[in-house]
Amino acid sequence: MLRLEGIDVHYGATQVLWSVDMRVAEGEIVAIMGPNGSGKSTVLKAAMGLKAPSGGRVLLDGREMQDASATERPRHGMAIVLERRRLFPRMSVHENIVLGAYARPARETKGSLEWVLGLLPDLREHLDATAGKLSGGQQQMVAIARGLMARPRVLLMDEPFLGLSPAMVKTVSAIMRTINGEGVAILFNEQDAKLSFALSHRGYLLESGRVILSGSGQEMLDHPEVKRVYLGVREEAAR
Amino acid sequence: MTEILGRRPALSFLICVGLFLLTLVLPLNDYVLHILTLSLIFAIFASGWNLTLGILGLKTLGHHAFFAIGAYLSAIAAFYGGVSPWLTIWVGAVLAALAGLLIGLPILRIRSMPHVAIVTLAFAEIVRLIFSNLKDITRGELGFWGIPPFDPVSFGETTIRFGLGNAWGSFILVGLFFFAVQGGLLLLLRSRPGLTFAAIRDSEAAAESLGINFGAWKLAAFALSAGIVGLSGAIYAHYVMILTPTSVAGPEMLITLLAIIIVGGAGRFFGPLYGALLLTGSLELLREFGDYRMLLYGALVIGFVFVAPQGIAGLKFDRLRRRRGHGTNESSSSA
Repeated sequence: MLRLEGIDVHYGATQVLWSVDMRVAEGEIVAIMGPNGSGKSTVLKAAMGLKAPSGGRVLLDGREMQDASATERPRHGMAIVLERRRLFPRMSVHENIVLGAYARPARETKGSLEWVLGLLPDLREHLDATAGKLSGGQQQMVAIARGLMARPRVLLMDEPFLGLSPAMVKTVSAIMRTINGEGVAILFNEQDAKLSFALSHRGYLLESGRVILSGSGQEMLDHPEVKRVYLGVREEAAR
Repeated sequence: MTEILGRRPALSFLICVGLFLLTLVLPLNDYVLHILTLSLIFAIFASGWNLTLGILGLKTLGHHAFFAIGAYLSAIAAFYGGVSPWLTIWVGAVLAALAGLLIGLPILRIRSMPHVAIVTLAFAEIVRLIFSNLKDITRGELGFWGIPPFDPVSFGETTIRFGLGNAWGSFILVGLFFFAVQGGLLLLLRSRPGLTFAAIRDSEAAAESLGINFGAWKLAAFALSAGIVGLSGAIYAHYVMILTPTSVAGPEMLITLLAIIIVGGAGRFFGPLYGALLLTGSLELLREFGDYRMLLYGALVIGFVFVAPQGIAGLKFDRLRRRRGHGTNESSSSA
Protein backbone atom coordinates (compact mmCIF):
# COMPACT_ATOMS: atom_id res chain seq x y z
CA MET A 1 0.00 0.00 0.00
CA LEU A 2 2.43 2.70 1.23
CA ARG A 3 6.10 2.26 0.38
CA LEU A 4 9.06 4.46 1.18
CA GLU A 5 12.08 3.59 -0.94
CA GLY A 6 15.54 4.94 -0.25
CA ILE A 7 14.31 8.13 1.39
CA ASP A 8 17.00 10.73 2.10
CA VAL A 9 16.09 13.95 3.86
CA HIS A 10 18.26 17.01 4.50
CA TYR A 11 17.62 19.98 6.76
CA GLY A 12 19.91 22.52 5.09
CA ALA A 13 23.30 20.87 4.80
CA THR A 14 22.54 18.29 7.47
CA GLN A 15 21.31 14.88 6.37
CA VAL A 16 18.79 13.44 8.84
CA LEU A 17 17.47 10.37 6.96
CA TRP A 18 19.69 7.94 5.11
CA SER A 19 18.11 5.70 2.48
CA VAL A 20 15.11 4.74 4.59
CA ASP A 21 12.97 1.87 3.26
CA MET A 22 9.59 1.15 4.85
CA ARG A 23 6.28 -0.33 3.83
CA VAL A 24 2.79 -0.43 5.24
CA ALA A 25 0.49 -3.11 3.87
CA GLU A 26 -3.29 -2.89 3.81
CA GLY A 27 -4.82 -3.40 7.25
CA GLU A 28 -1.50 -3.15 9.10
CA ILE A 29 -0.40 -1.17 12.12
CA VAL A 30 3.27 -0.34 11.70
CA ALA A 31 5.42 1.29 14.36
CA ILE A 32 8.55 3.37 13.94
CA MET A 33 10.51 3.25 17.17
CA GLY A 34 13.68 5.09 18.01
CA PRO A 35 15.27 7.52 20.41
CA ASN A 36 14.88 11.32 20.32
CA GLY A 37 16.34 12.85 17.19
CA SER A 38 16.48 9.58 15.29
CA GLY A 39 14.30 10.98 12.48
CA LYS A 40 10.97 9.30 13.28
CA SER A 41 8.85 12.41 12.73
CA THR A 42 10.80 13.27 9.59
CA VAL A 43 9.89 9.89 8.08
CA LEU A 44 6.19 10.68 8.56
CA LYS A 45 6.61 14.22 7.23
CA ALA A 46 8.42 12.91 4.16
CA ALA A 47 5.69 10.33 3.58
CA MET A 48 3.00 13.01 3.84
CA GLY A 49 4.87 15.51 1.66
CA LEU A 50 5.31 18.00 4.51
CA LYS A 51 9.08 17.67 4.10
CA ALA A 52 10.44 17.10 0.61
CA PRO A 53 12.89 14.19 0.45
CA SER A 54 16.21 14.90 -1.23
CA GLY A 55 16.32 11.35 -2.52
CA GLY A 56 14.19 8.24 -2.86
CA ARG A 57 10.48 7.93 -3.55
CA VAL A 58 7.13 7.56 -1.83
CA LEU A 59 4.60 5.22 -3.45
CA LEU A 60 0.94 4.77 -2.60
CA ASP A 61 -0.60 1.69 -4.23
CA GLY A 62 2.36 1.62 -6.58
CA ARG A 63 1.80 5.20 -7.68
CA GLU A 64 4.63 7.70 -7.18
CA MET A 65 3.61 10.59 -4.93
CA GLN A 66 6.46 12.98 -5.68
CA ASP A 67 4.25 15.21 -7.80
CA ALA A 68 1.48 15.28 -5.20
CA SER A 69 2.01 18.13 -2.74
CA ALA A 70 1.15 17.84 0.95
CA THR A 71 -2.17 19.53 0.25
CA GLU A 72 -3.02 16.95 -2.43
CA ARG A 73 -2.12 13.78 -0.54
CA PRO A 74 -5.28 13.68 1.61
CA ARG A 75 -7.20 13.33 -1.69
CA HIS A 76 -5.15 10.22 -2.41
CA GLY A 77 -6.15 8.55 0.85
CA MET A 78 -3.45 9.73 3.25
CA ALA A 79 -3.92 11.69 6.47
CA ILE A 80 -1.65 12.67 9.33
CA VAL A 81 -2.23 13.35 13.02
CA LEU A 82 0.55 15.78 13.85
CA GLU A 83 2.77 15.71 16.91
CA ARG A 84 1.25 17.56 19.90
CA ARG A 85 -2.14 17.37 18.20
CA ARG A 86 -1.88 20.80 16.53
CA LEU A 87 -5.58 21.51 16.94
CA PHE A 88 -7.07 24.88 16.10
CA PRO A 89 -7.37 25.90 19.75
CA ARG A 90 -9.84 28.77 19.40
CA MET A 91 -12.31 26.75 17.35
CA SER A 92 -14.91 24.35 18.64
CA VAL A 93 -14.35 20.59 18.60
CA HIS A 94 -16.99 20.29 15.88
CA GLU A 95 -15.22 22.85 13.69
CA ASN A 96 -11.87 21.14 14.20
CA ILE A 97 -13.26 17.77 13.20
CA VAL A 98 -15.19 19.07 10.20
CA LEU A 99 -12.07 20.76 8.85
CA GLY A 100 -10.55 17.31 8.59
CA ALA A 101 -12.91 16.66 5.68
CA TYR A 102 -11.49 19.63 3.76
CA ALA A 103 -10.05 17.44 1.02
CA ARG A 104 -13.28 15.48 0.58
CA PRO A 105 -16.44 16.56 -1.27
CA ALA A 106 -18.69 18.63 1.03
CA ARG A 107 -21.60 16.21 0.57
CA GLU A 108 -19.60 13.49 2.37
CA THR A 109 -18.96 15.54 5.52
CA LYS A 110 -22.13 14.57 7.39
CA GLY A 111 -21.68 10.85 6.75
CA SER A 112 -17.99 10.99 7.68
CA LEU A 113 -18.80 12.85 10.89
CA GLU A 114 -21.29 10.18 11.92
CA TRP A 115 -18.75 7.44 11.13
CA VAL A 116 -16.04 9.21 13.17
CA LEU A 117 -18.36 9.88 16.12
CA GLY A 118 -19.38 6.26 15.98
CA LEU A 119 -15.73 5.30 16.46
CA LEU A 120 -15.11 8.00 19.10
CA PRO A 121 -18.49 8.39 20.84
CA ASP A 122 -17.04 10.28 23.82
CA LEU A 123 -16.53 13.28 21.56
CA ARG A 124 -20.25 13.81 21.06
CA GLU A 125 -20.68 15.60 24.37
CA HIS A 126 -17.76 17.94 23.66
CA LEU A 127 -18.66 19.04 20.14
CA ASP A 128 -19.47 22.62 21.18
CA ALA A 129 -16.49 22.98 23.53
CA THR A 130 -13.47 25.09 22.60
CA ALA A 131 -10.77 22.65 21.47
CA GLY A 132 -7.95 24.42 23.31
CA LYS A 133 -9.77 23.97 26.62
CA LEU A 134 -9.92 20.18 26.47
CA SER A 135 -7.57 17.86 28.34
CA GLY A 136 -4.58 16.37 26.51
CA GLY A 137 -6.32 13.03 26.01
CA GLN A 138 -9.50 14.59 24.71
CA GLN A 139 -7.44 16.75 22.36
CA GLN A 140 -5.71 13.64 21.05
CA MET A 141 -9.09 12.10 20.30
CA VAL A 142 -10.15 15.26 18.46
CA ALA A 143 -6.91 15.14 16.45
CA ILE A 144 -7.54 11.49 15.54
CA ALA A 145 -11.15 12.29 14.63
CA ARG A 146 -9.95 15.16 12.45
CA GLY A 147 -7.50 12.86 10.68
CA LEU A 148 -10.19 10.24 10.10
CA MET A 149 -12.54 12.77 8.51
CA ALA A 150 -10.35 12.61 5.40
CA ARG A 151 -11.44 8.94 5.16
CA PRO A 152 -7.82 7.84 4.82
CA ARG A 153 -6.72 4.36 3.79
CA VAL A 154 -3.47 5.01 5.63
CA LEU A 155 -3.28 7.19 8.73
CA LEU A 156 0.08 8.56 9.87
CA MET A 157 0.33 9.37 13.57
CA ASP A 158 3.22 11.39 14.96
CA GLU A 159 3.83 10.50 18.63
CA PRO A 160 0.16 9.79 19.43
CA PHE A 161 0.89 9.01 23.10
CA LEU A 162 3.02 12.07 23.83
CA GLY A 163 2.06 13.67 27.14
CA LEU A 164 -0.80 11.28 27.88
CA SER A 165 -1.49 9.56 31.19
CA PRO A 166 -1.16 5.71 31.33
CA ALA A 167 -4.94 5.35 31.34
CA MET A 168 -5.25 7.59 28.30
CA VAL A 169 -2.46 5.67 26.53
CA LYS A 170 -4.58 2.52 26.89
CA THR A 171 -7.62 4.35 25.55
CA VAL A 172 -5.77 5.75 22.52
CA SER A 173 -4.21 2.31 21.84
CA ALA A 174 -7.70 0.79 21.86
CA ILE A 175 -8.92 3.52 19.52
CA MET A 176 -6.04 2.79 17.14
CA ARG A 177 -6.99 -0.89 17.08
CA THR A 178 -10.62 0.04 16.43
CA ILE A 179 -9.64 2.32 13.56
CA ASN A 180 -7.43 -0.41 12.16
CA GLY A 181 -10.37 -2.80 12.44
CA GLU A 182 -12.24 -0.45 10.10
CA GLY A 183 -9.64 -1.14 7.42
CA VAL A 184 -7.43 1.90 8.00
CA ALA A 185 -3.71 1.12 7.92
CA ILE A 186 -1.68 3.02 10.54
CA LEU A 187 1.95 4.11 10.53
CA PHE A 188 2.92 5.69 13.83
CA ASN A 189 6.06 6.59 15.72
CA GLU A 190 6.78 6.25 19.41
CA GLN A 191 9.76 6.17 21.77
CA ASP A 192 8.42 3.44 24.04
CA ALA A 193 9.53 0.10 22.55
CA LYS A 194 7.13 -2.06 24.50
CA LEU A 195 4.14 0.10 23.67
CA SER A 196 5.14 0.44 19.99
CA PHE A 197 5.75 -3.19 19.19
CA ALA A 198 2.97 -4.62 21.36
CA LEU A 199 0.47 -2.52 19.44
CA SER A 200 1.85 -3.02 15.94
CA HIS A 201 1.84 -5.84 13.43
CA ARG A 202 5.29 -4.85 12.27
CA GLY A 203 7.89 -2.38 13.40
CA TYR A 204 11.05 -0.53 12.44
CA LEU A 205 13.86 0.59 14.69
CA LEU A 206 15.37 3.86 13.57
CA GLU A 207 18.67 5.21 14.86
CA SER A 208 20.48 8.30 13.62
CA GLY A 209 18.28 8.44 10.53
CA ARG A 210 18.85 4.81 9.48
CA VAL A 211 16.61 1.76 9.75
CA ILE A 212 18.70 -0.69 11.73
CA LEU A 213 16.10 -3.35 12.45
CA SER A 214 12.68 -4.41 11.22
CA GLY A 215 10.30 -7.31 11.79
CA SER A 216 6.97 -8.28 13.23
CA GLY A 217 5.95 -6.68 16.50
CA GLN A 218 6.77 -9.82 18.45
CA GLU A 219 10.11 -10.31 16.65
CA MET A 220 11.05 -6.77 17.55
CA LEU A 221 10.10 -7.28 21.19
CA ASP A 222 12.12 -10.50 21.33
CA HIS A 223 15.20 -9.06 19.64
CA PRO A 224 18.16 -9.00 22.06
CA GLU A 225 19.25 -5.51 20.97
CA VAL A 226 15.79 -4.08 21.52
CA LYS A 227 15.60 -5.86 24.87
CA ARG A 228 19.01 -4.64 25.99
CA VAL A 229 18.85 -1.02 24.79
CA TYR A 230 15.18 -0.15 24.83
CA LEU A 231 13.56 -2.48 27.34
CA GLY A 232 16.41 -2.48 29.87
CA VAL A 233 16.55 -6.29 30.06
CA ARG A 234 19.99 -7.83 30.73
CA GLU A 235 20.85 -10.79 28.53
CA GLU A 236 21.36 -13.13 31.52
CA ALA A 237 18.02 -12.09 32.93
CA ALA A 238 16.42 -12.61 29.52
CA ARG A 239 17.72 -16.17 29.41
CA MET B 1 -15.97 30.67 14.74
CA THR B 2 -17.84 31.94 17.79
CA GLU B 3 -14.80 33.97 18.75
CA ILE B 4 -14.89 35.78 15.41
CA LEU B 5 -18.62 36.01 14.74
CA GLY B 6 -20.07 36.05 18.25
CA ARG B 7 -22.90 33.82 19.47
CA ARG B 8 -25.73 34.83 17.14
CA PRO B 9 -24.16 36.75 14.28
CA ALA B 10 -27.24 36.76 12.06
CA LEU B 11 -29.36 38.17 14.90
CA SER B 12 -26.71 40.80 15.71
CA PHE B 13 -26.59 41.72 12.04
CA LEU B 14 -30.37 42.14 11.92
CA ILE B 15 -30.26 44.29 15.08
CA CYS B 16 -27.70 46.53 13.36
CA VAL B 17 -29.99 46.81 10.31
CA GLY B 18 -32.88 47.65 12.65
CA LEU B 19 -30.84 50.36 14.40
CA PHE B 20 -29.89 51.79 11.01
CA LEU B 21 -33.54 51.94 9.95
CA LEU B 22 -34.41 53.55 13.29
CA THR B 23 -31.75 56.20 12.67
CA LEU B 24 -33.52 57.12 9.44
CA VAL B 25 -36.68 58.19 11.26
CA LEU B 26 -34.88 60.06 14.04
CA PRO B 27 -34.64 63.86 13.66
CA LEU B 28 -30.85 63.90 13.24
CA ASN B 29 -29.17 67.01 11.87
CA ASP B 30 -26.83 66.98 8.87
CA TYR B 31 -23.72 67.13 11.02
CA VAL B 32 -24.63 63.98 12.96
CA LEU B 33 -25.57 62.22 9.72
CA HIS B 34 -22.19 63.25 8.25
CA ILE B 35 -20.35 61.72 11.22
CA LEU B 36 -22.41 58.52 10.93
CA THR B 37 -21.74 58.37 7.19
CA LEU B 38 -17.99 58.73 7.71
CA SER B 39 -18.16 56.11 10.47
CA LEU B 40 -19.81 53.63 8.11
CA ILE B 41 -17.26 54.30 5.34
CA PHE B 42 -14.46 53.67 7.83
CA ALA B 43 -16.32 50.60 9.10
CA ILE B 44 -16.28 49.18 5.54
CA PHE B 45 -12.56 49.99 5.31
CA ALA B 46 -11.88 48.40 8.69
CA SER B 47 -13.99 45.31 7.87
CA GLY B 48 -11.94 44.71 4.74
CA TRP B 49 -8.63 45.20 6.53
CA ASN B 50 -9.84 43.13 9.49
CA LEU B 51 -10.17 40.16 7.15
CA THR B 52 -6.39 39.97 6.78
CA LEU B 53 -5.16 41.73 9.92
CA GLY B 54 -7.51 40.16 12.45
CA ILE B 55 -9.16 37.09 10.98
CA LEU B 56 -6.24 35.76 8.94
CA GLY B 57 -3.58 37.14 11.29
CA LEU B 58 -1.45 38.86 8.61
CA LYS B 59 0.19 41.92 10.12
CA THR B 60 -0.13 44.20 7.11
CA LEU B 61 0.09 47.96 7.61
CA GLY B 62 -0.46 49.24 4.09
CA HIS B 63 -4.17 48.91 3.47
CA HIS B 64 -4.61 52.69 3.29
CA ALA B 65 -2.81 52.33 -0.07
CA PHE B 66 -5.77 50.32 -1.39
CA PHE B 67 -8.13 52.96 0.01
CA ALA B 68 -6.19 55.59 -1.98
CA ILE B 69 -6.11 53.42 -5.12
CA GLY B 70 -9.88 52.88 -4.98
CA ALA B 71 -10.54 56.56 -4.22
CA TYR B 72 -8.24 58.09 -6.83
CA LEU B 73 -8.90 55.66 -9.68
CA SER B 74 -12.66 55.91 -9.28
CA ALA B 75 -12.44 59.71 -9.03
CA ILE B 76 -10.14 59.95 -12.09
CA ALA B 77 -12.43 57.72 -14.19
CA ALA B 78 -15.49 59.75 -13.19
CA PHE B 79 -13.85 63.18 -13.47
CA TYR B 80 -11.86 62.77 -16.70
CA GLY B 81 -13.80 59.95 -18.33
CA GLY B 82 -17.24 61.26 -17.51
CA VAL B 83 -18.24 57.79 -16.35
CA SER B 84 -20.92 57.49 -13.67
CA PRO B 85 -19.56 56.92 -10.15
CA TRP B 86 -22.06 54.05 -9.92
CA LEU B 87 -19.71 52.25 -12.33
CA THR B 88 -16.35 53.77 -11.43
CA ILE B 89 -16.49 52.63 -7.81
CA TRP B 90 -16.37 49.03 -9.04
CA VAL B 91 -13.41 49.91 -11.28
CA GLY B 92 -11.68 51.33 -8.20
CA ALA B 93 -12.51 48.23 -6.14
CA VAL B 94 -11.33 45.77 -8.82
CA LEU B 95 -8.08 47.67 -9.44
CA ALA B 96 -7.43 47.81 -5.70
CA ALA B 97 -8.00 44.03 -5.56
CA LEU B 98 -5.55 43.54 -8.45
CA ALA B 99 -3.02 45.74 -6.63
CA GLY B 100 -3.64 43.49 -3.60
CA LEU B 101 -2.84 40.42 -5.70
CA LEU B 102 0.34 42.01 -7.03
CA ILE B 103 1.66 43.10 -3.64
CA GLY B 104 0.31 39.93 -2.01
CA LEU B 105 2.37 37.59 -4.17
CA PRO B 106 5.75 38.71 -2.77
CA ILE B 107 4.72 39.63 0.77
CA LEU B 108 2.93 36.38 1.50
CA ARG B 109 6.23 34.60 0.99
CA ILE B 110 7.72 36.59 3.87
CA ARG B 111 7.51 34.58 7.10
CA SER B 112 8.54 37.37 9.47
CA MET B 113 5.54 39.49 10.45
CA PRO B 114 7.60 42.63 11.26
CA HIS B 115 9.00 42.47 7.73
CA VAL B 116 5.50 42.08 6.28
CA ALA B 117 4.47 45.18 8.24
CA ILE B 118 7.43 47.22 6.98
CA VAL B 119 7.05 46.15 3.33
CA THR B 120 3.32 46.95 3.27
CA LEU B 121 3.96 50.28 4.99
CA ALA B 122 6.54 51.11 2.32
CA PHE B 123 4.06 50.11 -0.39
CA ALA B 124 1.52 52.59 1.00
CA GLU B 125 4.14 55.33 1.02
CA ILE B 126 5.01 54.58 -2.62
CA VAL B 127 1.33 54.82 -3.56
CA ARG B 128 1.01 58.13 -1.71
CA LEU B 129 4.07 59.52 -3.50
CA ILE B 130 2.78 58.37 -6.91
CA PHE B 131 -0.55 60.18 -6.46
CA SER B 132 1.29 63.15 -5.02
CA ASN B 133 3.60 63.41 -8.03
CA LEU B 134 0.96 62.84 -10.72
CA LYS B 135 0.19 66.55 -10.39
CA ASP B 136 -1.19 66.90 -13.94
CA ILE B 137 -3.92 64.43 -13.07
CA THR B 138 -4.38 64.59 -9.30
CA ARG B 139 -3.09 68.12 -8.55
CA GLY B 140 -0.96 66.54 -5.84
CA GLU B 141 -1.30 67.93 -2.35
CA LEU B 142 -3.25 70.92 -3.70
CA GLY B 143 -6.18 68.57 -3.77
CA PHE B 144 -8.19 66.81 -6.44
CA TRP B 145 -11.48 68.66 -6.23
CA GLY B 146 -14.61 68.60 -8.33
CA ILE B 147 -15.04 64.84 -8.03
CA PRO B 148 -18.65 64.14 -9.04
CA PRO B 149 -20.99 62.67 -6.42
CA PHE B 150 -23.13 59.61 -7.16
CA ASP B 151 -25.83 60.38 -9.73
CA PRO B 152 -29.18 61.16 -8.11
CA VAL B 153 -31.77 58.42 -7.93
CA SER B 154 -35.46 59.15 -8.53
CA PHE B 155 -38.43 57.27 -7.19
CA GLY B 156 -41.49 58.83 -8.84
CA GLU B 157 -41.67 62.38 -7.50
CA THR B 158 -38.86 61.89 -5.02
CA THR B 159 -35.23 62.41 -5.99
CA ILE B 160 -32.46 61.36 -3.62
CA ARG B 161 -29.19 63.22 -4.03
CA PHE B 162 -25.80 62.21 -2.74
CA GLY B 163 -22.44 63.70 -1.83
CA LEU B 164 -21.37 66.19 0.79
CA GLY B 165 -24.28 68.59 1.39
CA ASN B 166 -26.84 65.82 0.89
CA ALA B 167 -26.42 64.17 4.24
CA TRP B 168 -29.59 62.08 4.37
CA GLY B 169 -29.17 60.52 0.91
CA SER B 170 -25.47 59.88 1.49
CA PHE B 171 -26.16 58.22 4.83
CA ILE B 172 -28.72 55.86 3.27
CA LEU B 173 -26.42 55.02 0.36
CA VAL B 174 -23.35 54.36 2.52
CA GLY B 175 -25.51 52.37 4.94
CA LEU B 176 -26.66 50.14 2.08
CA PHE B 177 -23.07 49.61 0.95
CA PHE B 178 -22.04 48.85 4.52
CA PHE B 179 -24.74 46.23 5.05
CA ALA B 180 -24.12 44.68 1.64
CA VAL B 181 -20.40 44.27 2.46
CA GLN B 182 -21.08 43.05 5.99
CA GLY B 183 -23.76 40.63 4.80
CA GLY B 184 -21.41 39.22 2.18
CA LEU B 185 -18.60 38.85 4.71
CA LEU B 186 -20.95 37.20 7.20
CA LEU B 187 -22.00 34.62 4.61
CA LEU B 188 -18.37 34.03 3.68
CA LEU B 189 -17.19 33.63 7.26
CA ARG B 190 -20.05 31.29 8.18
CA SER B 191 -19.18 28.96 5.32
CA ARG B 192 -16.15 26.80 4.59
CA PRO B 193 -13.85 29.72 3.63
CA GLY B 194 -14.42 31.29 7.05
CA LEU B 195 -13.34 28.11 8.82
CA THR B 196 -10.39 27.85 6.46
CA PHE B 197 -9.24 31.41 7.26
CA ALA B 198 -9.45 30.73 10.99
CA ALA B 199 -7.57 27.44 10.57
CA ILE B 200 -4.76 29.18 8.69
CA ARG B 201 -4.55 31.85 11.41
CA ASP B 202 -4.30 29.21 14.16
CA SER B 203 -1.78 26.87 12.51
CA GLU B 204 -0.52 26.89 8.94
CA ALA B 205 1.19 23.54 9.50
CA ALA B 206 -2.01 21.87 10.69
CA ALA B 207 -3.99 23.50 7.88
CA GLU B 208 -1.51 22.22 5.29
CA SER B 209 -1.69 18.70 6.74
CA LEU B 210 -5.46 18.72 6.10
CA GLY B 211 -4.98 19.59 2.45
CA ILE B 212 -5.50 23.36 2.75
CA ASN B 213 -3.37 25.30 0.26
CA PHE B 214 -2.82 28.16 2.68
CA GLY B 215 -0.75 30.25 0.25
CA ALA B 216 -3.59 30.41 -2.29
CA TRP B 217 -6.18 31.11 0.42
CA LYS B 218 -4.10 33.91 1.92
CA LEU B 219 -3.63 35.49 -1.48
CA ALA B 220 -7.35 35.30 -2.26
CA ALA B 221 -8.20 36.81 1.13
CA PHE B 222 -5.63 39.55 0.64
CA ALA B 223 -7.10 40.47 -2.77
CA LEU B 224 -10.66 40.42 -1.41
CA SER B 225 -9.60 42.53 1.54
CA ALA B 226 -7.88 45.04 -0.78
CA GLY B 227 -10.97 45.13 -3.00
CA ILE B 228 -13.30 45.92 -0.08
CA VAL B 229 -10.95 48.64 1.16
CA GLY B 230 -10.71 50.00 -2.40
CA LEU B 231 -14.50 50.10 -2.60
CA SER B 232 -14.65 52.07 0.64
CA GLY B 233 -12.08 54.50 -0.79
CA ALA B 234 -14.14 54.96 -3.95
CA ILE B 235 -17.31 55.61 -1.94
CA TYR B 236 -15.36 58.09 0.20
CA ALA B 237 -14.10 59.95 -2.89
CA HIS B 238 -17.61 60.46 -4.30
CA TYR B 239 -18.91 61.44 -0.88
CA VAL B 240 -16.34 64.06 0.21
CA MET B 241 -15.65 65.06 -3.46
CA ILE B 242 -12.08 66.17 -2.75
CA LEU B 243 -8.94 64.08 -2.22
CA THR B 244 -5.36 64.74 -1.24
CA PRO B 245 -2.74 61.98 -1.24
CA THR B 246 -1.94 62.58 2.43
CA SER B 247 -5.57 62.53 3.54
CA VAL B 248 -6.22 59.09 2.03
CA ALA B 249 -2.79 57.41 2.08
CA GLY B 250 -1.00 59.29 4.84
CA PRO B 251 0.00 58.08 8.29
CA GLU B 252 -3.03 59.69 9.95
CA MET B 253 -5.36 57.45 7.95
CA LEU B 254 -3.27 54.40 8.90
CA ILE B 255 -3.34 55.26 12.60
CA THR B 256 -7.05 56.10 12.61
CA LEU B 257 -8.04 52.84 10.95
CA LEU B 258 -5.62 50.75 12.99
CA ALA B 259 -7.10 52.30 16.16
CA ILE B 260 -10.62 51.54 14.90
CA ILE B 261 -9.76 47.87 14.41
CA ILE B 262 -7.90 47.50 17.71
CA VAL B 263 -10.45 49.37 19.81
CA GLY B 264 -13.36 47.63 18.07
CA GLY B 265 -11.73 44.21 18.35
CA ALA B 266 -9.25 42.82 15.83
CA GLY B 267 -10.43 39.54 14.38
CA ARG B 268 -14.04 40.09 15.55
CA PHE B 269 -16.69 40.45 12.89
CA PHE B 270 -18.52 43.37 14.51
CA GLY B 271 -15.34 44.99 15.86
CA PRO B 272 -14.84 47.42 12.94
CA LEU B 273 -18.37 48.80 13.29
CA TYR B 274 -18.03 49.40 17.04
CA GLY B 275 -14.57 50.92 16.62
CA ALA B 276 -15.60 53.16 13.73
CA LEU B 277 -18.67 54.50 15.52
CA LEU B 278 -16.81 55.14 18.77
CA LEU B 279 -13.61 56.65 17.38
CA THR B 280 -15.05 58.67 14.49
CA GLY B 281 -17.70 60.00 16.83
CA SER B 282 -15.30 60.78 19.66
CA LEU B 283 -12.89 62.56 17.31
CA GLU B 284 -15.70 64.94 16.44
CA LEU B 285 -16.91 65.33 20.04
CA LEU B 286 -13.38 66.21 21.11
CA ARG B 287 -13.20 69.16 18.69
CA GLU B 288 -14.19 71.56 21.45
CA PHE B 289 -10.90 70.77 23.23
CA GLY B 290 -8.94 72.45 20.41
CA ASP B 291 -5.23 71.69 20.54
CA TYR B 292 -5.74 69.01 23.16
CA ARG B 293 -8.05 67.05 20.88
CA MET B 294 -5.52 64.56 19.52
CA LEU B 295 -3.91 64.19 22.94
CA LEU B 296 -7.25 63.18 24.44
CA TYR B 297 -7.98 60.96 21.45
CA GLY B 298 -4.65 59.17 21.99
CA ALA B 299 -5.42 58.76 25.70
CA LEU B 300 -8.81 57.29 24.82
CA VAL B 301 -7.25 54.71 22.49
CA ILE B 302 -4.55 53.77 25.01
CA GLY B 303 -7.16 53.55 27.76
CA PHE B 304 -9.22 51.15 25.67
CA VAL B 305 -6.23 48.97 24.92
CA PHE B 306 -5.63 48.61 28.68
CA VAL B 307 -9.25 48.10 29.69
CA ALA B 308 -10.29 45.95 26.73
CA PRO B 309 -7.23 44.43 25.02
CA GLN B 310 -9.55 42.28 22.88
CA GLY B 311 -11.53 45.36 21.84
CA ILE B 312 -15.16 46.22 22.43
CA ALA B 313 -16.40 43.13 20.57
CA GLY B 314 -13.99 40.96 22.55
CA LEU B 315 -15.26 42.40 25.81
CA LYS B 316 -18.76 41.42 24.84
CA PHE B 317 -17.65 37.92 23.82
CA ASP B 318 -15.68 37.32 27.03
CA ARG B 319 -18.67 38.34 29.11
CA LEU B 320 -20.95 35.99 27.17
CA ARG B 321 -18.47 33.15 27.52
CA ARG B 322 -18.16 33.63 31.27
CA ARG B 323 -21.91 33.76 31.68
CA ARG B 324 -22.45 30.57 29.69
CA GLY B 325 -19.49 28.72 31.18
CA HIS B 326 -18.19 28.08 27.66
CA GLY B 327 -15.62 25.28 27.28
CA THR B 328 -15.24 22.10 29.28
CA ASN B 329 -12.64 20.54 31.52
CA GLU B 330 -10.69 23.76 31.79
CA SER B 331 -9.06 22.56 34.94
CA SER B 332 -7.49 19.44 33.49
CA SER B 333 -4.31 19.87 31.56
CA SER B 334 -3.67 16.30 30.63
CA ALA B 335 -5.64 13.14 30.73
